[in-house]
Amino acid sequence: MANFFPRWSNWLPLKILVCGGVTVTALTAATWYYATPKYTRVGYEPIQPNPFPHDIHVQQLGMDCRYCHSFVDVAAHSNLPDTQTCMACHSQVQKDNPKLEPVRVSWKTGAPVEWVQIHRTPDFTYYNHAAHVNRGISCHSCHGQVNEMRVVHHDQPHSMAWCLDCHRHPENHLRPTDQVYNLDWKPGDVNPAEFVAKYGQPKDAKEDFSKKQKLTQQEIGQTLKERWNIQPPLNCQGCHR
Amino acid sequence: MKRVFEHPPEAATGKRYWRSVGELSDTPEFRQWLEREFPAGAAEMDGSEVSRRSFLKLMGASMALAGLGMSSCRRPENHLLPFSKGVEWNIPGKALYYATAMPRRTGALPLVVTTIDGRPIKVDGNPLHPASGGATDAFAQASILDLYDPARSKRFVREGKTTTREEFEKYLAEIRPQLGADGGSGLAFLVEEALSPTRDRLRGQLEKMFPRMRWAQYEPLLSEAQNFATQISFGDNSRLVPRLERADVVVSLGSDFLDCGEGDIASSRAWASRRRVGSAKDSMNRLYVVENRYTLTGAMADHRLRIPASQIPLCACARRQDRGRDQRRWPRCCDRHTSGPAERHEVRRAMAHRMRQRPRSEVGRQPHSFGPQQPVVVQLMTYAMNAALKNVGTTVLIREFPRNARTNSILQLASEINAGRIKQLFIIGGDPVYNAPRGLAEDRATKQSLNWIDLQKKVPDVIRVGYYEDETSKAAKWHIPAAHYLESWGDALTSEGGYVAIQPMIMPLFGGVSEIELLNGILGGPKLEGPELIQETFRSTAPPGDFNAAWSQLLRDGFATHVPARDKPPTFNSNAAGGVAHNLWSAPQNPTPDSPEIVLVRSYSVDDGRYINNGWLQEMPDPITKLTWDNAAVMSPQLAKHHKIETGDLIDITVTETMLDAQKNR
Repeated sequence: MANFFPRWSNWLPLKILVCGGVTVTALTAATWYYATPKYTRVGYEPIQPNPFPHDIHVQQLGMDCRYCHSFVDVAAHSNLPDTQTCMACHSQVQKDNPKLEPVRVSWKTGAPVEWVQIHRTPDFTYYNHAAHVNRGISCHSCHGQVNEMRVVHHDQPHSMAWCLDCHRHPENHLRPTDQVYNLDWKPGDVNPAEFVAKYGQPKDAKEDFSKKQKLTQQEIGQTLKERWNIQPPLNCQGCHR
Repeated sequence: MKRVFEHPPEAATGKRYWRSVGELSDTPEFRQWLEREFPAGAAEMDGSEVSRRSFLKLMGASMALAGLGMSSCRRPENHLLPFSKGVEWNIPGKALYYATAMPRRTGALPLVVTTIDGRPIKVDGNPLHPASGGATDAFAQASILDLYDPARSKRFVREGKTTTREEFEKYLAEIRPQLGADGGSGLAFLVEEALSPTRDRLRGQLEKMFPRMRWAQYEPLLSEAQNFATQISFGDNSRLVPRLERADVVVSLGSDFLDCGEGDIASSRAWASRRRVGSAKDSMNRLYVVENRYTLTGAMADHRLRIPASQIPLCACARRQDRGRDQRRWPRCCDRHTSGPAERHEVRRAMAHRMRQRPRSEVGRQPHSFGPQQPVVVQLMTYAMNAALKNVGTTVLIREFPRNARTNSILQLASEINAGRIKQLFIIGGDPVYNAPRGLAEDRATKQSLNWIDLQKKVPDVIRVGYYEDETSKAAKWHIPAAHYLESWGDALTSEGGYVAIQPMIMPLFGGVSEIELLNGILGGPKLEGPELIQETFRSTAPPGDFNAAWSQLLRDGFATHVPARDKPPTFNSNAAGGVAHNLWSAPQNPTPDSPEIVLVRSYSVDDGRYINNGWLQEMPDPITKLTWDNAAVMSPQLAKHHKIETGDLIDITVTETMLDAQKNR
């Protein structure tokens, strides 16, 4: 009886196995990398109808975040400024700048400026801005160095894993509430003696923080976490209510 | 391979199973209905060119092709649209609450309205005000839907053509000097019933400016009877305010006072407060209801007597004879009905028994009747009973309500129009072409009876302010879109006389005009967007302390407490009332199966028809018949049997030349 299968088919199962393995691995790796918010969202930088340069307004003019995002500390939703807010200054400053045309049109017609949304929280996720900024989570933690952005882009992935990272270890992001809107704040800026006088230090701290030269983010965060009794929800319905 | 699922064949013997009562009885009607509802082969789409199978194939292919461009792989671009001008006090995503009131024909209902992002979304009662106590009724709840009704009137219309507000203002400025020249003798208003101090004030100014103008008020569901009877019995400017929380016995003669449809939530609450027994000392009240149909009040009654509506005067008469002393002046009517069926007798005895149990001087019994549909005689007799039982001043208060004596009825206005004296007629609200009584006047030449539409056509200039472009608007020269009460400034009195503010939640969505704005426009006052007119009225009530503080307080609470509700001395003019009752009395005919009585009643869901376009109210089942999106002629089974009518039949009812299509429900 002749050989039923040709000779070259001897290695075929092994080849299929290897190729299949490589393909599956590559696909998994590609999905892992390209199909997650880390890749799909971070860096998203749409063209806005009106190029609002955050760097000029914050760095050069020293405006606070809350001048425009005025309800961030009182409402769940952080608002965009209404045209009235823009025109408060731009009816006098740069009032003929062609880049501001959409704002002037909106002011004249009453139609809103159509800003392109960058950060989008899904409808099934409840997020409260006020609860975060009033407990020492800075704008910086989620939105990046907005004060240096000429054009705003998506800075952090805003994926669920990313949320949970912080909810599990809030000490990595907590800072004194008066520094929440200071996007240039560094843990090293804190005067340890003043900080300890105001907030104390963790119960099981091995050393006296006030005697230290500088405090780390973890030390500051741990102190504030205990001081304010911060227990971020880790159960599903904390956010998916 | 195609598999056909079928119900298992019925076993020839043994138990037979069925899926509905219809299937069990298996009548020819049911088979017919089954064939109509589920025609054989409907799922296959037999007979059409495209079969079901090929249709699905084509649809599937086009769906697949639509995905070729990978259009759904793009990140969707969303826009964020902030306000251009911020809304005051508004915080995005947070609710703002404003106190206001819903004007009603019998008095305003105090409300607290929730707004989000500057838009009203929910209506609740004002918990601070006793007329609401935090409660509302269905009409108030559903009124929010009317605000956003896409069918509401959105444009100014002149002779069928769209025009602008400026044009209308120009027109007003044109006619003002003409009107003033002859004291406004050609000017007339037809308005809805409303207790608005500012409207009254502006009307006073108009009457000063145009001393010969006419002002008529019309509500299809408020007959003049109650008002007339009250003025005769207790003097001018009076109105009855019940105090049901003080009443031990409540007798209702055809009055559905527990239905909150008239915005009278306080009455229901007061009555219910005496049904709650907290301790051994608490006593319950007792409710006797005499009515012709099942109402919410009848459903709550401890004793209910079912009699034809036309016989209620007899009952009133009998009750009065039980209690009244001055028999002579009052019509002696009716011992006849006491020998009626046993149940009537029983209820009557029960009533009489309860009344005798307590010493006469004790406070707290109240035979009362609010049924505005009841004739004057019933109203007068009820007042007489209340007076004889010394209820007036205890369980029934006589409250002073200013009422302009120059107010005409629609009938008087009709005769003026018929005489050709009216040149400019302002119809503010209402829908008289639809709901005015037939045959208001008689044409002099042809002797034909004229309906409102004929009369309206006789007036050269009819200016209509309406929430919808309806029949009345179509027959008018001008149509002006009306503002919703959530869009306009105003003030009002509650049914007990409390002063409440009406403040807008939002600018008029479609440029509507409120009644007050219009009157101000006719007066030639400056165009106002703010509350200036209301403030002026409020100032005249002399609020204590700083005016601005008092005004802010009014807007915050929604009502002012410094405006006193004055009660009149409880004196009943028995002579006048008895005389009128005597003259008006005529023994009612007993209805027979061949000439039954027809009672037209208010709908629990669409009121007098004004909420006909409100889906929420239409969707609300009638509390008694459970009908939705429908109405029915309700009749007794015996009458139906006599006329061989079955539930669900369509019948024509002819009432003196008026045809009503009514689906009848037994």
